[in-house]
Amino acid sequence: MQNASQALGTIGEELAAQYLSRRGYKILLKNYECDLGEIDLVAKEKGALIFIEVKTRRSDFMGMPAESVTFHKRAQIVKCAQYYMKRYGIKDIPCRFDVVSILMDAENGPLIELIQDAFGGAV
Amino acid sequence: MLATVFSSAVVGIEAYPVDVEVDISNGLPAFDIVGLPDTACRESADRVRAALKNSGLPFPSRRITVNLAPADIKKEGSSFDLAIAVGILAASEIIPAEVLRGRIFCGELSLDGKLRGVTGILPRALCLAAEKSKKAFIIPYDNAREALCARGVEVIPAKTLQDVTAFLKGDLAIAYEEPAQPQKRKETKRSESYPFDFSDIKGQFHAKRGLEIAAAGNHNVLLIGPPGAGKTMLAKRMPTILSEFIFEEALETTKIHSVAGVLLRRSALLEKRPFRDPHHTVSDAAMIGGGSHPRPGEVSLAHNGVLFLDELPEFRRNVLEVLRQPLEEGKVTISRVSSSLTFPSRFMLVAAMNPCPCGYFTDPKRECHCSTMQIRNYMSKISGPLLDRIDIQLEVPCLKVNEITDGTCGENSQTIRARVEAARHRQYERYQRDGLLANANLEAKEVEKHCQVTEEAKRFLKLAIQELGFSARAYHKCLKVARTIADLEGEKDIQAMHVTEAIHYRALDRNMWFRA
Repeated sequence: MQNASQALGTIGEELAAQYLSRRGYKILLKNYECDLGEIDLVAKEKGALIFIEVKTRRSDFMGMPAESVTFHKRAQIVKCAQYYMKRYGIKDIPCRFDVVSILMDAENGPLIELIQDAFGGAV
Repeated sequence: MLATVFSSAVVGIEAYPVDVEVDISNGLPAFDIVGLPDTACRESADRVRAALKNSGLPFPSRRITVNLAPADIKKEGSSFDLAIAVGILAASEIIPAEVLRGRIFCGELSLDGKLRGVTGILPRALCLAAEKSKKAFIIPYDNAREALCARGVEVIPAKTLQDVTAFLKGDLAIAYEEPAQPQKRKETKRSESYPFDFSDIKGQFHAKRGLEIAAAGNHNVLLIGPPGAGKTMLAKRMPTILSEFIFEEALETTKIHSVAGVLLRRSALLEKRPFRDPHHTVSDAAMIGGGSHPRPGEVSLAHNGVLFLDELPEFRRNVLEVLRQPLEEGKVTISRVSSSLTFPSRFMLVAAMNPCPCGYFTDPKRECHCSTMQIRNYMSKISGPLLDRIDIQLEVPCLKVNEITDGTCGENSQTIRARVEAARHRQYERYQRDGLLANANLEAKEVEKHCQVTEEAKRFLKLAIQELGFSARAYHKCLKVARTIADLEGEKDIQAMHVTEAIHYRALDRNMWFRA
């Protein structure tokens, strides 16, 4: 069973995947999980491998969704990405970390923002 | 993709070449700088990233590794920003790699892509000039005048990273143009550029004469007198009677100031001799230089100029004692675990002090409240070896009533300076072959050679050694001062009157002030 915030996250990830597909991203994986953590979406765009973190919020009362991708969360995603690349023997390909921030506004519908190359791969 | 950009760094006051190697490879995006960078140097990653983006240039989201070779010398400061940014552009094939050959890059980037001035540009330019390799030196516009002091270096002053990129692509020609206004500055005479003059001081002819001799021969001076007699006033006017810089001196002093970061923005070669007056709370490291990357201290900043120490006994003892080596040798060696560096420090020491803790010991009108012990303690703060190195010791007495109200002011600085220049000129000519500049810098052997005294003068000197207990150094110092006095008069040999005047300037050897 999912609780309310998990359900919101799943909706957000679905919205993000649709949005990115429209922008020319090819979604490879959803919710890649390993012992080090999880990555919401793994995609390819113009020959680059992209790891995507999706953040969904109902309001900006506690700040914009993207703001909650903290140092700790970034480090976890980077480690996870390193594991992913090692696990599947992916070498010598440009990589990137993107963040999709979704604000679920009841009146105007979801507000989606894509931040490309949101952070670096150094931990 | 690999690109190598040429830059340089400074250790002490000398520059050495640094190769900035930039490699861009696939993998998780990262920006690493290796080659022993310090914090300012490592932070250049963030400046370069923002500067490139804000200049409308792409920043590759890939794995970037920057190596500052030679990798075993510590790099400090922000001057590699420009070289790293250009390296990234070349490695990501935005500019062709060939254009980097024969060009040296130095400069700090601001986040909007403008180039900021950095310290130590002159030593770098001189290093290039010495190489005679005809390399172009690409630097921030703010440093242009400083770099142009080194003759024979092609200087390309750029204002922004965009300008540098356009220049490297061949779309823009950059050459230095002197801003329109400084034409007027050349015409103003040097004396007018000081807010004060020797003629501001009434009376004190004895002290003025002493300072004139000091300025002529680069001798060290100590001014002793009660509070309010005008010691500080006299010392502050010292720069107005100093001789003009000769080119080599100016270059050397500017180099030190450039490394220490005390040069004014957009300034060229120093025009005036430096006058440094550190407060008496100064630390020994600040006085002679120091730090883990040794920086020049006050003695080196005063190189070829004046170091003024007001209230000499108030300085910490260890600060005064570290002055011995620079006073004697004209250079100071700073040894740290990692390195040992030598900075030049040929300065003229001008010190001022009171004769006792209350200050009125020699004052004819006011009574001194100090005990003999107190006075002795006060004087003992300045050690014998230090005093021995001071050639001219002047008493600055309190002015008498009529001297204050209607006394004559005496000559102005310009007249005195003309005599100083003439005496200096005689010295330059005499010492040209020995590579010396002034009488005070003579070594023992050269004293014998250049300070010929008449028979009568010799008798006086003998008497002085016997009666006043001169040390061997005091004897030599006395001869050098006599040499300067003779130079001021235009005499070839040292006469008895010159010697007597010189002896007379060693007030503290005459067993005053209860010195044991």
